[in-house]
Amino acid sequence: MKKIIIAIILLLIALGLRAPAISVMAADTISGVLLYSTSPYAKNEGNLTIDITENNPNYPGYGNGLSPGSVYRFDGLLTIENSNDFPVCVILESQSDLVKFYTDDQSLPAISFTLDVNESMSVGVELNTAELGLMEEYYSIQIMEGGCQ
Amino acid sequence: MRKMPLGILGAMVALSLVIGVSATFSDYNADRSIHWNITTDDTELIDLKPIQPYAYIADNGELVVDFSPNNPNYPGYGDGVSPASEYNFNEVFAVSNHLWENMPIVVRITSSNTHVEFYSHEGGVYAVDGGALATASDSARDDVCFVLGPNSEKKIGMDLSANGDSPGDVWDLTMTVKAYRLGTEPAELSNCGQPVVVE
Repeated sequence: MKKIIIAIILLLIALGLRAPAISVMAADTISGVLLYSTSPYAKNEGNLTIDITENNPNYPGYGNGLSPGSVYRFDGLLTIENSNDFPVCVILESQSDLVKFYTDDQSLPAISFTLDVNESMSVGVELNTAELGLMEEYYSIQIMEGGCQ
Repeated sequence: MRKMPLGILGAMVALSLVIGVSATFSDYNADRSIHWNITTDDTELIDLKPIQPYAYIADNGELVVDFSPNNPNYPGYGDGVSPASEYNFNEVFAVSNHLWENMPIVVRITSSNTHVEFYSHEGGVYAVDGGALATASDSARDDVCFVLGPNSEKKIGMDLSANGDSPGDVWDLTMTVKAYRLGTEPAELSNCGQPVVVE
């Protein structure tokens, strides 16, 4: 637990230097795995939430969302770090046709990767847009002890 | 008396469940949410904003440029462009960088038809092929790119060439806009006015 708190403070400092627009970094721990984002599009709402609407405290007063018929790819929107003292397999699975993940050029509805002790992975998120309106979509994070099969 | 063993059994089951969860790390699953607004082209992160009556935002939120009587701003006269003519409109729409991260982007605008070409009379817009400046009707190109700093906008003009067309012809074409974080643009977009890095 101590390790996790220190990591968050360091990130806040690094963030403060690089991106003053972000007031609070969104972070979240799931079973010893830290999920965080240095992007202004993320916020803490009990847990890490991606929010590209006026409801996000980081909303600068412009850029109200994404336009219809477009595809947005946010590089490294999520970072997932293993704070356990054993390797884990992380599976990210989108529950929406409009949300995909990528760690290289190819975006997929579900990705999995192994994280060794203290290792982290930066994950991009691709959002596709449909008709005008507010979208609320979900994805699941599954964590298993040991490397991915 | 019969109820007692059941109660104890219930407590034992509950106890073993609690121990089971806390003693070994097994599979763990959590859900997280992503919220976003799908908003009109002129209010989104990378805006396309109409700046004169030939351009407007349609009901579906998308920018449309329409030089025909179908345009809701059509005043009842001036039904289109004439054959064997060339029109240029200095400011048709503007592209803005309203990303929240304060990062410069490289924007590419591509026309699906060479009848319609783009330029900016403000400068800073380049032909993707060859990297020449597209600042006026003569140098307008169907595939252009430019660098857009945070919270800034670029006014884009359009050049329409009706050479070889007949009255009654209708062009229906698509304009594709792509944007990349500066430094992540593909190699073909290397002459878009990127700042020169001195090492």
